[in-house]
Amino acid sequence: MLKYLLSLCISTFLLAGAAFAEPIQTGEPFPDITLTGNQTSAQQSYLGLSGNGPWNLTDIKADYVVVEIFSMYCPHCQAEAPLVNELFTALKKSKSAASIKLIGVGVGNSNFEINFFRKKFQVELPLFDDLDFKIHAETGDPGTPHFFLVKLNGNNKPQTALSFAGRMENPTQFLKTLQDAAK
Amino acid sequence: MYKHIRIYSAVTALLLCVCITPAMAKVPAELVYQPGKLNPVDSVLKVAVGKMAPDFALPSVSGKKIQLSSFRGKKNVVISFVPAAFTPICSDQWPGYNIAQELFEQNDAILLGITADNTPTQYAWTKQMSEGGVWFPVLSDFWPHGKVAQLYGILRPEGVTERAIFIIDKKGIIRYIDVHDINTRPDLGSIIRALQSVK
Repeated sequence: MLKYLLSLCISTFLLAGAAFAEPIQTGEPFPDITLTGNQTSAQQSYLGLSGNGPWNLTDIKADYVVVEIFSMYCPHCQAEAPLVNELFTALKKSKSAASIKLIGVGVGNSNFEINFFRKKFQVELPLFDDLDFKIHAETGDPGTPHFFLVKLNGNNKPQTALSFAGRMENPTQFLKTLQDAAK
Repeated sequence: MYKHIRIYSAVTALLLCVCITPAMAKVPAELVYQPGKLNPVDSVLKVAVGKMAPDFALPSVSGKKIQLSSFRGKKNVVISFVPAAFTPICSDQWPGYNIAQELFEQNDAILLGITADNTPTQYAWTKQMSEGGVWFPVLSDFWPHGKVAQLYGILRPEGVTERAIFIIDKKGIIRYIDVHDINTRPDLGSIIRALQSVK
């Protein structure tokens, strides 16, 4: 019996290890991810985008972009949604409104699921879909939610100014963290 | 007893392989076991669209026994079988349904979630999804093990169910079946569109 319990524990430990990848860290290059998903004219205008996409991250007209990696299916992201809405409002009213933009990427989520999440939580910030987990893989398989503050560097290679795992929980404080990281 | 421990150890290990998706932390790559992709479907379906859904009665987390035929003439029924509790893909499926109650209700449907786990396990698992648990009945097909899954032809050899969706209309007829690749989650949009066509 002990033998089998031991093998179960070892299997669990090793397989749990398989769950752990390395999300892109602060200071590392960030991929110029491709963004897809329907956006309203207000959302396009906010990001300085036009047309129906797909767009690249570097098409966004800003110095920095906050990319929230989330999923409609993730309970933490569901709980966090109203706070992300607050962050979006606070950011738009702040001195960083023009320089820092906020978007969400729904990993493993279809356009239907993104639209449902948007409606359910009255999300106004631009949300993009990532049904095939491409962006998720490009960003190092982060857990959800995960926030990246990306410095766009004009047309040069984007850089990760902040990599933040988990819920931010306090929008006011998190906005300050973002602003400090963007200095 | 050893036989049972062996079986459940193997099933647990297998499910971790199936369901775990990368998350966050550092483990040297050489220590990470790579199980590879599992056989997407490993059972032979015994039911078909257009046929009557086999009836069943199973215990639920609430303590009540739920019988499929009790919804006849009253509600469409969406059944979501998932392989096992406490596994990431499975754990990332029902929390999505848990915020989408209105999508089912708009189509005059009830959702039934079924796994081959026992009720205490399901209770602890669904409490993790939301403080109050989930809005839909969660049924245990634990004992006789996987009897209902076997009846529908979706019990895999390792004793877990396929990741499958069945839509049954108010007459008790199966209108939609998706025995999904166990490695991926079905799109909620496909389920709701299928449900709308039943309504």
